[in-house]
Order: sequence, then C-alpha cells, then structure tokens
Amino acid sequence: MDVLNNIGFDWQVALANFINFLIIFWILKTWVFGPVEKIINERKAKIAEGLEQAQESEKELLHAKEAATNEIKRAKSQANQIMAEAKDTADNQVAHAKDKASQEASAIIEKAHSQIEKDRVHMEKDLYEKTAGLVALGVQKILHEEVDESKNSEISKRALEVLAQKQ
Amino acid sequence: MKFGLERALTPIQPDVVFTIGNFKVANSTLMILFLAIVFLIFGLTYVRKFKLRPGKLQSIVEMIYESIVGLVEQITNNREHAKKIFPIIASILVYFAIANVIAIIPGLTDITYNGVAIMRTPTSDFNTALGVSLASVVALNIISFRSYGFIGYLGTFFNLKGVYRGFKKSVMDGFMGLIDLFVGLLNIIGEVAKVVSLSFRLFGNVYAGQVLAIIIMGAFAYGLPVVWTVMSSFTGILQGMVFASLVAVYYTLALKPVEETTKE
Repeated sequence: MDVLNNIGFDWQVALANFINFLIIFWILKTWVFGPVEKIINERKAKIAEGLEQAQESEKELLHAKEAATNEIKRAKSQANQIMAEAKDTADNQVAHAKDKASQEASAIIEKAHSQIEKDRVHMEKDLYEKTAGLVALGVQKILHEEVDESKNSEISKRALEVLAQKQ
Repeated sequence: MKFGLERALTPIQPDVVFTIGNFKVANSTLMILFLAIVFLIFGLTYVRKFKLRPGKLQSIVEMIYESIVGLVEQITNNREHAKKIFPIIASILVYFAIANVIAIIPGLTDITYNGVAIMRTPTSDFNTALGVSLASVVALNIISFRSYGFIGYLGTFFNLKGVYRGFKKSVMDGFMGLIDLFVGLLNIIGEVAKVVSLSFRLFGNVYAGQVLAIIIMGAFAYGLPVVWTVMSSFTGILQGMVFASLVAVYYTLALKPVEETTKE
C-alpha cells in the first residue's frame, strides 16, 4: 500500500476518475461511435444497393438489347415477308393487267376484224350493186333498148346472182 | 546568458483543486470532465450532422474509426468478438490518445485555482491509469462471465472438473489436472497483475515523459522542447494504442473460443 501511496494513489481520486471514464465511455459509445457506425453502415448499404441496382440495370440493358435485336430480326423478317407479299401482289396485278390488256386488245382486234368484215361485205355489196348498175347500163347501151325501172332491177338481180355464183 | 527555463516538476501526488464535503476533486478529474464535455459537444454538434457524402473532417473521423475497427479485428481475429469489444477498446484508445495530447494546448495547464493548476494530463496521475485499468479488468471479467456462464467462469479459476476427469482417466492425467487447478488459481493473481501492469506502464511512460520534458526545458528552452513535445504527443497516442491493444488481447483471452461456442 505504501508503494501505491508513494506514486500518488488516492482512492477518492481513483474512484472519481474511474466514474469519469465510464461517463466518457458512455458519451463516446452513444454520441460518437454509434452515429459514425450508423452512417458507415448506411453508406455501405447504399453502395451495395447501388451496385445491386447497377448489376440489375446491366442485366436489364442486356435483356433490352437482346429484345431489341430480336425485335429488329422480327421486323426484318416481317419486312421481308411484306416485301415478298407486295412483290407477289404486284406480279399478280401486273399479270392480271397484262391478261386484261391482252383480252381487251383481242376484243378490239376481233371487233376491228368484224368491222372490217362488215365493211368488206358492205363494200362488196355496194360494188356488186354498182357493177350491176354498170352492167345494166352496158346492156342498155349494147341493146339500144330502154331499160326501165323494173328491167333494171331484174338485170341487176340476175347480175348479182351470177356474181354470187362465181364467188 | 541563460537558455533554460526553470519549471516545477509535475507532482506525483494528485493535485486537489477543491473538495466537496470530504471528497477530493483533483485536477486530473477536472481534465477528464473537460474531455467528457469536449466529446459530448463534438458528438452532439458535429457527429450528429454526419452525411452519407462525407466532408473533410467527417472523412478523417471515419478513417480513424475504420482504423480502430481494423486494429480490434486484427487483434481478436474474429468479427463477432471485435464487434462486442469495439466500444470499450475504441473509448480507451480515443480517450488516452486525446488525454495524452491535450495538455499541449498552450496555457491550458497554467490556469490555476487557489494556486493549483486546474488542468493536468490525466494519465500523469496514477489514479486515472488505475481507474481505467480497473474498469477494463472488471469489464473483461463480466464479459468472460457472460461468455462462459457461471460454472464455466468459475471453472477458469477452479478447474476441479479437469482434476476429476484426469483421475478418472489415469493417475498421470489426474496430476496434470492438479497442475491446471494450480494454474487456474494463479489466474486470480493474474487478474490483479493485469490492473497493476496496465496502470503502472501507462502512468510510468506518461509521467516520465513529462518529467523529461521539464528537464529538457530546464537545460534548453528554445527549439528542443518543441521537438520533444511533438515526440511526446506521438508517444502519448502510442501509449493509448498499446493500452487499448493489451486490453483487447485480455478481452480476447477472456472470451470463450469460437470453436467451443460452435461445438455447443
């Protein structure tokens, strides 16, 4: 005990300093270390959350890229299909138009043919009538005989019959 | 021409500033109270406003905090144990580091009341070192008690179970058990020795540092004391760290090993 007294031991001061240390311990634990630990943990959690979100975003980005690629592929294939369909439709329409034009041309040609035929017949008829008239006039001139209306008609009729037989 | 500056040696006895009834209030006690107020103001005004995005001072405080956490984890080698004992170890470290350095503030130890300086480096008073050492050893016994349980805790001092099991096995093992029992009894003295060793080491280092500073100042008052003051500040922080590390080691030894806890 003497050794302790020689180096200044005093139980009252030792007790007071012991209690004061406990007060400091409480203050540091409650008001310093606690809040510092809390803020560090909060930051760590925030960082972890951020990293997790970043990873999540990266995954989502990959998914989105994949989806975009698939969508582009699908769109391309759809576009190709539409193009092919459009080409088919166009080809069909062109073919249809060609057919129609061909039919119309054939009809026009046929009509023209028939018109030509009609004209030819009409012209032939005219020609026969005129020829018959000329024949009648020739007969009149040769026979010096007056050809009246009925005779003219008869001669023309006969001339037509002859011509028709020759034809 | 005189280069020295004569100053009285810091008395080894506590300087009693005043008494409350019969209870003495020493200047080291007042200094500790002053430190408590400083810590409280720091905690309430600054730490409370800490943000997720730290400023310069916050970064420094967090860096110190992380360093202490790292030190405790390194000593205990176990995260759970480190978490358990961190507040007490960190308190000891911060308290001693600042207490050993705060007396550097010029004029702080020159304020007197009734001719007695009202502030003094707390650790240069043996009672401070003794108080903290005693608190640490009491706390580590409480932790040990909580870790082992009542029977287990008593078993660390009186290992009768080991003697019984030893003799049950063989006579040789029985004698080994008796040796363990004796070593366990020595642990009781070891607990007292921890208090003595911790308090004497700290007090001796800090007080010797102060005495040496006064002697250097007496021989050469210009330039050299500044170097010595810087060095003693560093030593003061180092002493705080040594004290805290030793207490951490004692705590780790007082706790039940993790393997045993897992087995149970």
